[in-house]
Amino acid sequence: MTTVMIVEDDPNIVDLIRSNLVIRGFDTLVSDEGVRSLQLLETASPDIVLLDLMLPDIDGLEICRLIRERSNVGVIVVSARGGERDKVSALNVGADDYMTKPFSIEELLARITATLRRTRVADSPGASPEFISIRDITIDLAARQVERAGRVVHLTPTEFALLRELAEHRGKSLTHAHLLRRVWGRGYETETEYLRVYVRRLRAKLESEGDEPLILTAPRVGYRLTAD
Amino acid sequence: MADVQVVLEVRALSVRYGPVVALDSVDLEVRTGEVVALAGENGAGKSTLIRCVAGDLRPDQGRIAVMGDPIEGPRVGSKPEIAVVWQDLALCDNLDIASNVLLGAETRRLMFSETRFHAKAAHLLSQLGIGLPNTSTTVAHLSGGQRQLVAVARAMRDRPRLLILDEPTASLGVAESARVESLAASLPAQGTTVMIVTHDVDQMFRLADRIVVLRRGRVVAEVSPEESHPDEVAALLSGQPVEISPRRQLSRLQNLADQLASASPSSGLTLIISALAAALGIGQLCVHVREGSVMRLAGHVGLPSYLARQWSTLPTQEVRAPLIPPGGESIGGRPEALPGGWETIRRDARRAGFKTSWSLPFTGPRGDSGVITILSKELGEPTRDDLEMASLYAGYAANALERDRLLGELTVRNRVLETIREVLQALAGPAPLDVSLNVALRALQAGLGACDVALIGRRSDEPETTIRAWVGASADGVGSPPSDLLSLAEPAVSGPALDGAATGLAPSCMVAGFAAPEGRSALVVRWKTPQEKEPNADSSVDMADRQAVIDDAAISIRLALEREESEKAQRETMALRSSQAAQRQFLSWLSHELRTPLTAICGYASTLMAADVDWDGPSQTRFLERIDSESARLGRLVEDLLDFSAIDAGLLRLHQDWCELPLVLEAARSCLAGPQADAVSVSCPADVPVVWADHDRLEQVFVNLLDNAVRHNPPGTAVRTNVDVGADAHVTITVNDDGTGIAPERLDRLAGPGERRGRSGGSGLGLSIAKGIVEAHGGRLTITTGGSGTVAEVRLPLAAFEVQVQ
Repeated sequence: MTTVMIVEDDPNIVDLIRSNLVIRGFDTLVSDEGVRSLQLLETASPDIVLLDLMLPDIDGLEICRLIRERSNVGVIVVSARGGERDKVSALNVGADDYMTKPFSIEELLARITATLRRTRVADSPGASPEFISIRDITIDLAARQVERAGRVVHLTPTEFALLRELAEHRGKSLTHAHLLRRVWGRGYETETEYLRVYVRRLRAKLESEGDEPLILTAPRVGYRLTAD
Repeated sequence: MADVQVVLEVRALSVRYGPVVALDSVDLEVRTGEVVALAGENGAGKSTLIRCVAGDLRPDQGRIAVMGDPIEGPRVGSKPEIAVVWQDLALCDNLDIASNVLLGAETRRLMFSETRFHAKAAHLLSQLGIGLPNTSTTVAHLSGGQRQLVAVARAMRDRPRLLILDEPTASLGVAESARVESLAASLPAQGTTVMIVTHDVDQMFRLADRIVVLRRGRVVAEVSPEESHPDEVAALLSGQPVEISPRRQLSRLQNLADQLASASPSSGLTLIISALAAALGIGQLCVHVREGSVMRLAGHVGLPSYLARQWSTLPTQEVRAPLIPPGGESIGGRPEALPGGWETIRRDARRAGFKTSWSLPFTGPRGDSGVITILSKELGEPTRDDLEMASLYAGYAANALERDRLLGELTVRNRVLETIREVLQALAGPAPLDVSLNVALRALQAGLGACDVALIGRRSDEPETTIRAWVGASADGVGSPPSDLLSLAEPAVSGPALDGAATGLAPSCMVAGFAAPEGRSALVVRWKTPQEKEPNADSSVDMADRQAVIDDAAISIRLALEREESEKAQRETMALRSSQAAQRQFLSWLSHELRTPLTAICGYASTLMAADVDWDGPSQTRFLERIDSESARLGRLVEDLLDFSAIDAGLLRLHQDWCELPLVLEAARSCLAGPQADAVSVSCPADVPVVWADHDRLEQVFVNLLDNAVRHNPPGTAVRTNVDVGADAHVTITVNDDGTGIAPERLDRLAGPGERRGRSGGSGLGLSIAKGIVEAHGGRLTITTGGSGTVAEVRLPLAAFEVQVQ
């Protein structure tokens, strides 16, 4: 069973989300403060976290960063602030998705499903090769593990999904919309800032200064992984 | 004091350094209560002797006994009977006075308390009569004499029987030597015998009861100062017969004059006159000093009082009185006509029975001149020695005059500097400008002896000249400044012509105009009387100095005004910036506050419409209830926002009518949930007047206050509401809870928008709105909080509502 942790301090919103999740077969955990949510993360290991940014004790972004330090769990930030900058700063601290209040239940369920799909290990090994090697980087598709010069590089599920998509089509430019649909899911095609943030995160983990870039930008089109 | 006994007994003491005999069978006895001087030139063996006595050096032969007990080698531990203050003092420069005095005697008890430590040191110093500034002064900052005193205090700490001072004043000036000597002289009375090692013959004669003269390792003599003469001791010291000559006499007198002069600078001239009289062995002489166009009698010895009166001022154009013997011929060899004044002196002297009078002019470094006149009943010319000595003293007298003049100037200069310093200090200080301006003006007033000091300004955008600050001698700065100050400043503030220089307008007024940030300003200083008639003109600050002080003060004030201006601008920028930040924060908070109920409404609506789920009846009802309550919350929020913006824009509309406070309070109380309402008590005097107010709005205020009081406190906290009709045409309603109170930093924010109230469901604007409503009624809402409880006080005016219910 999938466990969703709801970090939210308004009881009506909690009830709203929980009623909808429970009736659809999810398990829920509720925390009305940030600190407690970190404890629950350790003890109950939820599959996904719905995180409100306005918490009574700690700033939600800081909680997101702390969650990311401890776990690869999918994090959907729920916020009343809908600005571009709010979205980017949430993604920057490791959120997988960002949802603006008010939202409909369909949107909430769709985002939860998309994020779970990405972050779940349940992928069956397909026809594609088990290993992909680029320069000193080895991507183990089955084990979802990336090594660089023999050392394991820690990637979040979303980061891994993006790298895998690029690697499976290396040398080919992939459009923003294609990448967003493949990695985040249908309905995300216009969220280009998601892509920008995650490409930057991948570059920071996989490229060193002075190297030929690993991920190349096709301006206004998309990205491609280097062919050599 | 105990009867006289031998403190120190030295018998047949001999010390050799190789072939050199340092001490050769020295015998010495020191008895209680005396001061013994151990005299000797360098290498006579003084140091060797005291090192043996101190146990520092083991003699080759002989015996030393202290209080009858023989000593051998250094003594450690026991309380020393003998203490030595060596010439190098052995002080710890980096420690303070107290630590040096108590060095080695710090007990746990003393170390535990800084206060006790310093008190102990101060007590010791005062017992010894040593005046030192502060026991926490670092020794490195002390003068040579003060260091010597500290060293003596340390040596005296354990009250030794014998204190040996090794050349205590060798490197000190006259005044400091005198302090050390007086301390040394006071010690025998306190039970400590003193042996002072010195080669200053005069010092021995001043201090010692007995002088032991050491030469080439031997005691060559023991003399009593009363029966001996310094020259004799000097001869004993050197082993040479001393030439008794006037020159030697002169040098001794010079020494005396120096000492007297440095003991009391202001009386220098008088002392010099006495010293000269003593040196020449004559009974009558006087000194005239030029003062403007007259010669004034500056001092005299032995003049009959009528003569002193007659000669108190003498007319003279030419100070250079020739040296005239009674016979009428000039000894100086220049036959000159006597100036009028000295003709008088000669005539008067002859009438008074003086057979000889001669005068000696002197000229100071600045040309100030005087004349020494010597009178004698004997007939005869002054000898060469007399002349030599008189001219020497004339030189001293001139120097003394010069020094007095310099001292006077210095005092004035100091006063000028002190005034400027005070002004600067006041203006640069942390006090608000209005306060520091006042202090600065007061300093100017005192420093310049002025009657009124005012800072007068004219803003560039206003034609009016105003007094920004004023201090007046008349009424301690209270009352209103004299209006004519404004007209004095007029020329300086109306044009830039007078910038930068104090100008004397009326004879009793100076004005310095300058460009201030907001226009022109002028510093006006006025005296009661014109300067020419100023009393004690010699000690007051002269015109040029006054001008300099006022100019400096004007510059300082200008800088302070500019600083104030830039700080003000900075504060405004900061306030603007923080209000912008607050606005952004408010918008972000508002967006959250509005979106939360909206999210619930949208969410529940879409939940109910979801195609994939069939909700059971109770769930559906619950969701609908939620939608209802969240809609109400949204409605309240919008209501609050409208109120808030109306108040913010000053557009709050009140529907005022005669309104009974007890009804308002009761209505507010009944708005609370049942058990909460029970916690609230309302006490209201029966005769409380009706007020002209908006009933609903007042109710809103009290609902908010009561709700806050109930909700922010633990359940069961009592809330008391009290209505009080004051004598000042106000009615005061207090809502008082005995809860935990609000943190002061939260209190500030409570009154502004954006204060989040957790899950209360309120907008967080309630208190701001309540405040706005009360203020719209012409009243005031204040909230104070302490350790126990919060008091909200609503003060509403009654004055506008005269009608009372009968």
